[in-house]
Order: sequence, then C-alpha cells, then structure tokens
Amino acid sequence: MAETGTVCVDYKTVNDDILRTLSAPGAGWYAAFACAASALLIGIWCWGQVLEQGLVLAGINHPIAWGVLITDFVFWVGIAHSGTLISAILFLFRAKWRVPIYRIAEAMTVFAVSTAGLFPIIHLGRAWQFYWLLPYPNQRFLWVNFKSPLLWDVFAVSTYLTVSMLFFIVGLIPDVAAARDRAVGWRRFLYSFCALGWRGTGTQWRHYTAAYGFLAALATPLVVSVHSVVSWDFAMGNVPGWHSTLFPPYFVAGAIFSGLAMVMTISIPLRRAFALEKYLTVWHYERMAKLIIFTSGIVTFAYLTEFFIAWYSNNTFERYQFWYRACGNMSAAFWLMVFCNCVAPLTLWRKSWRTDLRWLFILSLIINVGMWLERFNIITQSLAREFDPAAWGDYNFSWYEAGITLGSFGWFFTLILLFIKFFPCVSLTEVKEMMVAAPVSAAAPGVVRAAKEDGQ
Amino acid sequence: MSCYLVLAHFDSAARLAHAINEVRQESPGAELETFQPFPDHEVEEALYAGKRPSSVSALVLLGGIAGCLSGFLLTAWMSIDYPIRVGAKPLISWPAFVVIAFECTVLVGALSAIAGLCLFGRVPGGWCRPEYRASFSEGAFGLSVRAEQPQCGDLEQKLYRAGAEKVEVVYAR
Repeated sequence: MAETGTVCVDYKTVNDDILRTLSAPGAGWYAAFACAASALLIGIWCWGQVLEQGLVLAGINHPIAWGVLITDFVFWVGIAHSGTLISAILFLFRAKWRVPIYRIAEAMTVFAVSTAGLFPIIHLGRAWQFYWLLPYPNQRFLWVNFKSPLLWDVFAVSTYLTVSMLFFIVGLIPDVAAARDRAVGWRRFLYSFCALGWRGTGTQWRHYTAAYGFLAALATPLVVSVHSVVSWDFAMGNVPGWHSTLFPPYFVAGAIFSGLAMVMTISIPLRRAFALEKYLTVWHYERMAKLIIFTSGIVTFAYLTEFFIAWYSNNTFERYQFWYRACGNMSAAFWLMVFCNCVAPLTLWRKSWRTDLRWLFILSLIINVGMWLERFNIITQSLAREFDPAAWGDYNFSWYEAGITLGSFGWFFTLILLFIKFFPCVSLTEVKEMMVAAPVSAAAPGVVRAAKEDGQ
Repeated sequence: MSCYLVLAHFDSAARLAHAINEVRQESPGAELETFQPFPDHEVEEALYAGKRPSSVSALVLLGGIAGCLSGFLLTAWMSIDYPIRVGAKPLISWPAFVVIAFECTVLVGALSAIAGLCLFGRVPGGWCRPEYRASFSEGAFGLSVRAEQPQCGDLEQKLYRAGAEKVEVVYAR
C-alpha cells in the first residue's frame, strides 16, 4: 500500500476498514483517555476553586480584566473554524481532498465550539447566572443590550454551535445506519436510535442532498461571521491595539490557520492508530500544508499591517502599544508568536518538509502554541498599556487559569476520543461516492473502486 | 389488497439507473423506490425525471426570511420596550442589529433544512421494512417495484436483463 498511491478497494472493504475503528479500544486509547480525563479533572477542580473564591484566583486584576480565560475562548472558537471550512466551504467547491478528513474536522469543530462556549461562562465568575445573557422574559422587565458586541457573541457562538452540530449529525446519519446494519447488542440499539430509521432510499437521498447542500451554504457565511463577531469584541473597544478594522479578516485567517493545524494534530496519530493510510494519504496532508502556507502568509501580512498602521496613524498610544509588544516586558511572548506563526510555516515551501508527516505533526503543535500566544498578546498586552500610564499594569500568571486551560484541552480530547470509538471518523458515504466520481489518477491518490465492471 | 415488491439487487449505480429507465419505458406509472449506499445523480435523474426539485429549498428560503425578520423585530421591539440610550444613537440602531438578524437567518434557515429532511424524507422513520437489506448500506444498490401479485416473471426477466444480480419478491403488507 503506497503512502502516496492509489489503492483499489470495493465498497465492502471501505466499510470493513472504517467500521473497524469502532472495535473495542486498545491500551493506547485507554492511556490517551486517562491523560485527557485527568486533565479535565484538574480543570474542573481549578474552576471549582475559582467559583468558590472568586475570579482573583484566575489572574483577573486591574487592568487585565480579560486574561487567559478570554484568550482560551478566542483560541477555541478559532480552532473550530477550519472544520467548517473543510466540511462546508470545500464541499461547495467540490474539493475532493476534503473527503477523508472532513468528518474528524467537523467533530473538532463541534467539540471546539463546545469548549469555547464554556469560557465566557467561566469568566462571568457567577457562572450560574449565565442565562442573564439571553433575552428571556423576566420579572424585572429587563432586556439585553443588542448594541453590545458581547451580546452579538452570544448569538453568533450559539448559532454556530447549533448549525455545526446539525451539519455534523446530518452527515453522520447514513454512516451510522451502515454501522447499525453490522452492529450487535447495545451498539445495535444505539446506532438504530441515532440512524433515525435511515434506509438510504431514493426519496431520502433526494431530500438529504438538498438539505445537506443548504446546510453547507448556510454554514459557509458563519465561518466568516463568527470570528468577525469575536474580533469585534476587541475592535469595537477603544483600546490601543484593538480598535482596528483589520481585525475581522485577520481573525478569520488566523482561525483557519490554527484550525488546520489542529486537524493535523488530531488526524496524524489517528491515521496511524487505525491504519487509515490508504484513505488519508500524504497527498491530502500536502493540500492542507499548502493551505497552512497561505493562511500563515495572511497572518504574517496582518502582523506587519498592524505595525505599519500604528506608525502611519501617528497616534502616540497606538505607536507605543506596538513598540511595547515587540520590546516590552512581555516581548518574549510576541517573538515566540512570530516564530511559530510566521517563520516555522515557511519550512512548508519545501515539498520534502510538507510531505513529511512527522514534521507536519510537530509543526501543527508549534502553530497551536503560536496562535494561542497571538490571542494572549492581543488581549493582555493591549490591556496592560492603555492610555494613562497611571492605569498601566502587568499580567500576573495564575496556576488556576493554567489548570482551567489544561482542563479545556482535557475536555476537548476526551470528547474526541469518545467520538472516534462510537462513530465512524471517516465518512463511509462520501468515500464511496468519491470512489465512483474520481478517475484513477496519480495526481489525486486515495481509494478508487476496484475495476470490476462497467467502467464506472 | 395484498401488495408485493419485486426487489432487484445491483452492484453499481449505473446499472440501477439503467434498470429504472428500462422499467419506466415499459410501465411509466410503476411505483419505484431505490436503495443506495450513497447518492447518485444518474439514479436521481432516472427516478425523478420530469418532477420538481426537492421542496427543501422552498422551506429553507421561507425559514431564512422568517429568521431575518424575527431577528430585526426582536431587537427593535426589545430596544423600545427597555430603552438603553448608547452614545446618543437612536434606540433602533439597525446596523447594530444586523448581526442578530443575520444569525437568526442562518439559524432558522438551517432548522428549516432539517425540518424539510424530516418532513419530505420521512426521517425519523422505521427502517425494519421487509424490503430493506443490510447490504444496501454497504455497497449494493436496490430497486423495488410495486406489484399486486407475486407472479411477475416478465418484470423479473427485464430486471435481470438490465443487470440485476438477484431478483426477489417480497410480501410488503
């Protein structure tokens, strides 16, 4: 089985290969699950302490009112975006390379938005009053302020979570039906329930393809809008380093950049663990690596533009803010971000590097660190040096916020690990569809239908 | 009245589409249904030739418009019912409400797409039907033709000639 070649298989083999991933987990899965669940428990304990003693434990002070918790929120929303890019936008463009990767990217989207949504609630301090964010009839005759970007965020993130979950579930239905038809015992009961009586009739497919196409078309503007709305949380505020019209495109490109890296972080070990090399070929990763080069270029250009505009605006506060980022007491975080997001991805210009999956995995971790630091720099450094030097302050590290951040990774990976053992992590339906549609071609390797008859 | 289904198994979508065309040619009014592991344009064209496209699109359009309007009305009414004057701007500052209206458009549009799939595609529904076979979710393609009696020799022969691997008669009710 060539890593980059074309493999002829029949439809049954596709089911065999992919549904095999649902078999009883091995020691590796248990070890990974134990790590993720432990991280989650640490996060829950830290949050418990913060709930009991107050946000002061989480590094929130004056003037850093938004610290690591909001950094984590923006980071996780960003991670979600490339999942929708791969599942919805590339679906509309009929990009074949998305097929084996999109299911895991979509799962990543749903779980990352679920993780992101926790952070504004944790950051509230009084998390039990989160429903005050929603416009519900109440005895105090109050309504929420629709002119606040924070409220736009509530609508944007909850809509994004709902639509991406619907898209994810609809995509899963035919595959769960295939799993149902093979399963026995409690799994048969579970899949029968989740497959919603799917039989794959012509009538069902007719309305399914229409609904799926519309969900993709509706999810596409969400990719652009949600991170734009998140960026307005900052850009609408009159704070040096935040108040810029550059923010929406800069955030969207950064989100896709970090999300692609996370898809690699998850799928490279998954591919190896489940022996999915013939479905997820190096060719697919090379396509993703090229998108990473592109989005890294946009992010780098945005960094340069920020500095240029700060200088060109002749605004003392803007100029000082960007001088502070590069040369202030937190400049290490800035330069590490530049290395991770602008310099390290340049290695992908060489084909030998972008086709080396070990390097792609390491690079994906580097990019994730870099993109987390980007949000950290934007938030903490701008708040640390606003207008009046008398109101300046410094960010103070807290183990509790680090614990909550670790817990968020634990939560995310716990969900991912559970997902890959309960549901097919590669789309059976679309892989089979691609096998018919794709001609045998060295330029687009992967699986094709075994040449049995009729030249399909 | 008894009802039987003549169920033919095919190994490819192209053969299934060919068989549909063959059956339609002889008996245009025949009640046909297919079973497929994945959607196929050729099969859809053969099965629904001359029929209107899926009504899901109309439902999504209606849902999107309803979502957009309700988003604007919700924000405008609540801003008047509980006035918060921000930056000396009008109470109904519609540019600020575009975000909410947009999100409502997408949300209600997406929910309408799901409603369309449920309504028209009969999901959720029962899958334990006598004509359903587990191989249809694996790689086999099926074509069921409604018949009033179990002796359908001509139809069986026609389906075999069109490329069916196996033809069986199923008592459906």
